[in-house]
Amino acid sequence: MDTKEIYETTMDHMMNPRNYGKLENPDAVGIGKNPQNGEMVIIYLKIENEKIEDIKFQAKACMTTVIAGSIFTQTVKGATLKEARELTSIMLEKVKQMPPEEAACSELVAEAFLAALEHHETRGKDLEAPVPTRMIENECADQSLQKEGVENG
Amino acid sequence: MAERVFTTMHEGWLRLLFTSFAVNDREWGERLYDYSEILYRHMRFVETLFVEKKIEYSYERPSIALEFKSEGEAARFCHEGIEKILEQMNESGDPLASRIIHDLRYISSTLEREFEREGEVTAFDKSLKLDGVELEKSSLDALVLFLFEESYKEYELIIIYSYAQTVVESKRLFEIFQILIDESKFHLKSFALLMAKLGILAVPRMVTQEIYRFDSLKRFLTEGIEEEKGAKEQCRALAEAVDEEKLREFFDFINFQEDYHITLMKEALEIIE
Repeated sequence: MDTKEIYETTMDHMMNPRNYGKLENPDAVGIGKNPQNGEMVIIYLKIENEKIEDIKFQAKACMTTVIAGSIFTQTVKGATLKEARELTSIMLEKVKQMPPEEAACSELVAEAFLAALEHHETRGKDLEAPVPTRMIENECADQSLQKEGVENG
Repeated sequence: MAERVFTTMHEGWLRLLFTSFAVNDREWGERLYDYSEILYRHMRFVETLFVEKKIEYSYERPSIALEFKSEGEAARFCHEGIEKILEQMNESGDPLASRIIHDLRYISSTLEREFEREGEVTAFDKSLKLDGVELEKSSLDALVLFLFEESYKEYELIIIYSYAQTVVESKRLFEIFQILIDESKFHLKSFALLMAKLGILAVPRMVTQEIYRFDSLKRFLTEGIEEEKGAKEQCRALAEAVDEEKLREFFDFINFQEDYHITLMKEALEIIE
């Protein structure tokens, strides 16, 4: 994908985020949270025969997180749990190579998804298992900017 | 009145509102904007009724994609939204329902007369040009991100303050929220018209219950004041970053407008403390 295609794809996900919203009666739910500013992503899963039949997400976060959620959910929809887990591991490895302030958005989505997988496993033993929340380690770019603004001004 | 009609009214309002920003014929756009305001008020009248009767309703809604390419298609898109509401309303003799149906039938008939419009809609063509001028890359990136973030934020505030009006008892608090709704509507309109010029107009994502049904009004206002300060800072930074005088003046104007919001939110905090 060249720079122009990346720009157009990003713009497309900004204008029409895929899979945004809630699922009625999901099989699993997971929350990824930024403990520093309260930003969070919730992921809802419908799972059948170890395959992600449907996925939705909600974000109380910046636009970059919404783009990450849109692309991620579009990618894992229809994948097996094993494939989706592998993809998430690759994503988290990539996140480690990014500057922390750029990494937080993708990390929020990945951690929310891992929390949803965790919920799926625990619900196998206990249907009433609480929705898990996984915290992220990186700091969002918006926060860094705001801090910078306060310091500068 | 069916409970789901609230969601359909919400969708109808947004269909007309964002179409009003999308069309190049600004005279017609302003008329559509006025109609969208009527639909917003319908939604709020129904909300008041539902609150009184303790009927569950929600501001959550499906995504709305804007895909029309001509003004005729835009008129059909709005018409479809109005007809969906009419399908869910019945002539039960309820005076409010009768008034709403009367308004909607009139708006629907005016839209039908616009079906043959041929004007092109360029609000979603991703041209990224402002009045035909290409902005410098870093200014453009900052502007695009700002417009997406802030158009969502203004829509979110309209929803939050609308809901907040149903849970407060103080007359002054209600007034403060109404002023803030009107201010956010103006900001949303300003940002959306800029997005339409750039070819990136989109209906913001839905605001979930977890966001608009705040647990604590005090915390919401305290955090809101900080967010307004953050928005001021973003406007200031953007005014510095953009290499275009009219845009710079516009963002300075928005920056200083946030001061009203902060003052009003502080007054609201004092009332509840």
